[in-house]
Amino acid sequence: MATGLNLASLPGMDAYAQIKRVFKQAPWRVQTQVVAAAAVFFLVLAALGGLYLATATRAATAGRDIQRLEAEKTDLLHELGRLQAEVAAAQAVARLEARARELGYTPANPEQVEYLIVPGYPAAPPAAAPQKAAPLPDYDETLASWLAGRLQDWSAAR
Amino acid sequence: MTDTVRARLRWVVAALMVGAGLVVFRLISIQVGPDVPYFNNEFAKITQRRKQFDPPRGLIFDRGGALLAANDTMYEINASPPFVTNPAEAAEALAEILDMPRKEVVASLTSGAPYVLLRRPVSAVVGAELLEMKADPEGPNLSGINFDIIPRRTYPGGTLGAQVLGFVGGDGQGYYGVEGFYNNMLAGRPVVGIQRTVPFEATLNPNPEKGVDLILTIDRDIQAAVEHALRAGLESSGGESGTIIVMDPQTGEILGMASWPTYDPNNYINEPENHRINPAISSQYEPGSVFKVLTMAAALESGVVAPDTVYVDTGVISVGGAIIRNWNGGAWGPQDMTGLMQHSLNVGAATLNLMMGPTTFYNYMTAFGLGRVTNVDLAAEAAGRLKKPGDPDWYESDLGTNSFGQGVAVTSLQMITAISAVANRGQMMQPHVLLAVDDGETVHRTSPTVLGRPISEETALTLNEMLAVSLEQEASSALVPGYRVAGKTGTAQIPIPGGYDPSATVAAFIGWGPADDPQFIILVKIDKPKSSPWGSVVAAPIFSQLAQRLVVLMEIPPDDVRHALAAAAQ
Repeated sequence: MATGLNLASLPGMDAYAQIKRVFKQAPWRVQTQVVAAAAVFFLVLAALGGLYLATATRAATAGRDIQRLEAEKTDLLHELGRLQAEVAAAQAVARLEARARELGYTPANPEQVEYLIVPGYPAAPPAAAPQKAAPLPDYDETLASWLAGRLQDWSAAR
Repeated sequence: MTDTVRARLRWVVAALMVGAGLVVFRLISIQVGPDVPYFNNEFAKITQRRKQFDPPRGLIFDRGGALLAANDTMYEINASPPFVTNPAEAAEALAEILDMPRKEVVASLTSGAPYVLLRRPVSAVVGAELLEMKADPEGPNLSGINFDIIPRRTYPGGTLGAQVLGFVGGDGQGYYGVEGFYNNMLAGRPVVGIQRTVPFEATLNPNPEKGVDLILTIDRDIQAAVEHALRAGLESSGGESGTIIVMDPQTGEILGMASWPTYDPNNYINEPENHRINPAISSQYEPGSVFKVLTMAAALESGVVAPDTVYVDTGVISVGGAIIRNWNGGAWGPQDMTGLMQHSLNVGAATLNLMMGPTTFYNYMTAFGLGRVTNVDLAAEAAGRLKKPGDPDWYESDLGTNSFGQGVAVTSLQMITAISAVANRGQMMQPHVLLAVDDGETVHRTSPTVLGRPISEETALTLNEMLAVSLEQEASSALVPGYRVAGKTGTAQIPIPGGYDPSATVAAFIGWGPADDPQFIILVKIDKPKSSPWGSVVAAPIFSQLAQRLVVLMEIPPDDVRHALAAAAQ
C-alpha cells in the first residue's frame, strides 16, 4: 500500500501546503474521516433515540398513572355516593323509629314534655313577619336637577 | 461461485432491494403522503372515543341535614366473548354469584358475539365482590367479563316524602316534585370530551360542573308524622285517598306534605303512573265549607259586616234561581258572624256574597290567589278554576254556591296558602320547599317572599279570633289540649257529570296554632270517607292528633308556659 509521503517530489509548494495536501490525499485519512463522521452521526442518532425512548417511557408511565388515578377517582366518588346512601338508609326515620320502639321508647305527648322557666334567660323573640319591600320611587332625575342638587350641597358645605 | 450463481444472486439482491424500497416508500407515504388523514382517522377510532362526562347529581337534604335523595351505584355485568379465555371457569363463578343457570352463562360466553349482557342491574355489593374476584390472581379467570357502573338515584327513606321529591328516570332526568322542578340545578352540566386509551396521549378527564345540593324546608320528622297521621286517618275513616300539608304561615315554608296513595321512588317503574303525581298541588277539587273562611274574610274586609253583625237564618235562600240550604236543611235563626262560622251555614255565606256583590267577592278571591298557580317550586302544579262574571259558564247562581266552596276548583296548596293569610296577619307568603342551595362553596339561603296581602292585619286578627272562638264553643274535636288553635271544617260534595255524587264527600279541616302566634298551619283532606261524611268528624281529629305531635317536634310550649316565658323575658 503506497503512502506517497514524498515531500521532495512536490516542487514549488511550501512545506505546510504540501503536508496539508498530502494528508488530504492520504487514503487512510479519508477513510478515517468517513468512519469518524459516520460514528458521530450514529452516536448522535443513538443518543437522540435513547432520549426519545426515555422521554416516551416517562410520558407513557405518566399517562398510565393519569388513567389509573382517574379510574381510581371515579371509583372513589362512586364509593362515596354508595356509602352516603348506606348511612342515610341506616338512619332512615322508619328504621330509627322501629329500633326506638324495640328499645321501649314511645313518641312523647305534649303533656310529657316539661318546659323550664329560667329567670333572666331571654326567650326567643317572636318571629317578625317579613314585610313586602317598598316599591322604589320613580327615577325622574335629570342632569340639570342633579347638577343643581350638587351645587346646593356644595354651597351648604361652604 | 460460478458466474451463473453470481448473476442469480444479483437478481435476488435487486428484487429484495426493490421490495424493501417499496416498503420504505409505503411507510413514507403513510407518514407524509395523501393517506395521512385516513390513517389518522383509523388510529383515532382505535385509541380515542368521545365520551360524555356526567357530574354526580346534587343531593337533596331535609332542613335538618338528613339525606333524602342520594347517588348509589349499581353494575351492569356483560361480557366480550372473544376475549373470554376460560368460559367454563368464568361461568362457574358468575353463575353462582349472579344466581343464573350455569348452562345459560356458558352459552353466552361462548356465543362469539362481540357483546353479551349477563345481568343488569346488579347491586353495588355484588359488583364489588365480582371486581375483587377479578383482581385476585388466585381467583377464577374472568378475562373478557366487564363490570360497567350504572349511576342510580336512591331515596333512603323509601316512600317518605316521595311525592315532594319526585324521582329520576332511566334517562337521568328528574320527574315530578323537587327532582323535576330543579332538574337543571341538580343535574349539573355534563361535558363531552375525548377519552384516550394510549397512555402517551392520556390527559386528565374534563371536570363537569357538579349539580348543586338542595336543602329543603321539609322536616323529615314532621314529614313522617304527617304520613303517619294520614295513614291512621284513612284507616280509621275508611277514606279512599287523602292529603295533609303542614306549612309555616309566617314564611310559607312547607314543613311536610303527603298524599295517599303514594309510591316508592326507588321502584317507580313498577308503580302506577297516577301515584307519582303530587295530588296536593296537581289535583283539583271543590273545597266546600273551608272556603267560608275566605268569604268571611272578604266580607269583613269590605266592611259589609262586622263580627257582631246579626242576620236571621231562615234555612233557605235563592241566588240567581238556585235554592241554597244549610248542611242539615234547618233554619238557625238569628246568628252573628261567629255563629255563622261555628255552624258552617251555607245560607249565611250566600247572604254575605249577596251583600258584597260579585265584583267585590271575586276581586277578593282573586287577591287570595284562586284560579292561578301559587308558583310553588314543585313540578306539575295545577291552577284551579275560579269562574267570574263575564266567563261564558258563569251564572248568577255561582255567586251563591261559590260562597261556601261549590263550583270552585282549587288545589290543596292553593287553599292552605289563601287561608294562611288569616293566620299570618293578612299576609300570604309564597309557599316553597327550597330552603337553601349549596354549590360546594357557599350556602345560598332563600328568603321568605310575600305573595300578597288580600286582607288587612285587623281583619285577619278579627277572623282569627272568631275561628278560635267558634272551635271552642263547638267543643270541636280539632282542639289541642294546652294550645289555643283556630280553624274551619269543610265537607264538600264531589261533582260528577250532571250533578254531585250523592254518596261521597271530601272531609276537610284547615287549622293553625298557637292562635296568637301561629307557627304551623295544617290542611287535612280525606276523600270519600266511609265512617262519616263530615269534616268535623273525620278531618278535625286528625288535625288535633297531628298538632299534638307537631308541638313536640317543633318545641312549641303550651300557651301558659309560652306566655310565662314571654313575661319572664320582659
